[in-house]
Amino acid sequence: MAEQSGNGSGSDPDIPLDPFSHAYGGRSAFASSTKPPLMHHYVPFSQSLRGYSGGRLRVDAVAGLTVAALALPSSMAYAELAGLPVTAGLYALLLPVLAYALLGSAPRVVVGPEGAVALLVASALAPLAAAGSAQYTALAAALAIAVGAVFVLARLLRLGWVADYFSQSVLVG
Amino acid sequence: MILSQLEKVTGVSSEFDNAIRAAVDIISHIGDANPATLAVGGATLGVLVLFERFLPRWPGALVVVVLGILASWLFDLQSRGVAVAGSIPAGLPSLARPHVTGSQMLSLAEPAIAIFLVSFSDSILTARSFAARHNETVDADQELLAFGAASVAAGFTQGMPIGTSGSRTAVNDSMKATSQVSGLVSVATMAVILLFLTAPIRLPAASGPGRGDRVRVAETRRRRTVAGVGPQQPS
Repeated sequence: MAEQSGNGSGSDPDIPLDPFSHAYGGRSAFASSTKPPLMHHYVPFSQSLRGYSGGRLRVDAVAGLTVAALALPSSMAYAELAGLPVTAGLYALLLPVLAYALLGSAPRVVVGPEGAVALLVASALAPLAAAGSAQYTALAAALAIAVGAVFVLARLLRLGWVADYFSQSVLVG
Repeated sequence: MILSQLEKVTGVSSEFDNAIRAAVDIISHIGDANPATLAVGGATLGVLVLFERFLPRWPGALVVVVLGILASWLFDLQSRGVAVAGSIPAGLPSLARPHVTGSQMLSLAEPAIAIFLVSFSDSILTARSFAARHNETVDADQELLAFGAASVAAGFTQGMPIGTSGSRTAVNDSMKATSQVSGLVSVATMAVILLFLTAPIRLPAASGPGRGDRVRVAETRRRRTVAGVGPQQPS
């Protein structure tokens, strides 16, 4: 920082660089001055806890309890809709929800087994194995990994911008 | 969507595709409905509406679920013909790779892309529509990463492909959740239920997936009124 300000005042006195080097906080001039630390960047959850209070904890806890109570029967129903044992739906409420809670950038979104996806699973796996068999259950889990791989691939290709072109009316339908 | 819920609440289904004819069909056959199923569905809706009207700060949905579990247990609803989601198997999943062959994995590539498209578009639109109400932004690239991690986690714990639950997100939002701490609490609740509370819980299915959706319908209606958005075409 001292070196930068020294350069600024030394090389060209007409252009005062001191305020700029101050704004950059000692980082290179081409790094964004608002760039958050990596932890905040990849784990938005850590950032959302800034200024967390007891009151918010109470509200969040009641909301979380309610969501779990709702998710319990519906995930079982969606698993059966997909031709899977109810455990597949219940287990999808544990680690996946935890992973999303830590990595997701939307503070209220709840992930889990869902109708449209369950129907797609059923139609995709029907020709491959008999519904309810152990092979079918294994294929559903493998399909989840494959879907996850497509998501990660899309992330690596930074395809998030595609979402800006989705029409909101798709949602209401 | 409302119609599909009507079928669940009354236990009467219609084979008509046309929405209006199906509605007329269901209502004209309401006499065939199982009275116990009808009572459970009606009571569920009634309690929700009453809570919304008189005790908006109370967690109405939570009360309904607890009441539903209690009623199912006390009155033995299953023997009266109410569809029950079934008992819950105990225990937690183990971390394991699903046993599939390489060629099977290849044949899953195409459905995986289809599920990705449906899941991603639905998720990002749900996330953005709720974020917009709180003046927040959703980073689509970060969502891709989060869903990738969540789906892979589902696959390695004997789960199934997942998406965003619009109804549960709506409930979470209407319960004023402020952060994903609510998600952590729901994971902990599920873990406790699977480990310790599996025996006593039997769930009335008619009040299962449907209830959240009804809340969502009410939510959507309110949202439209608040935002001053004109009537949109439901499908």
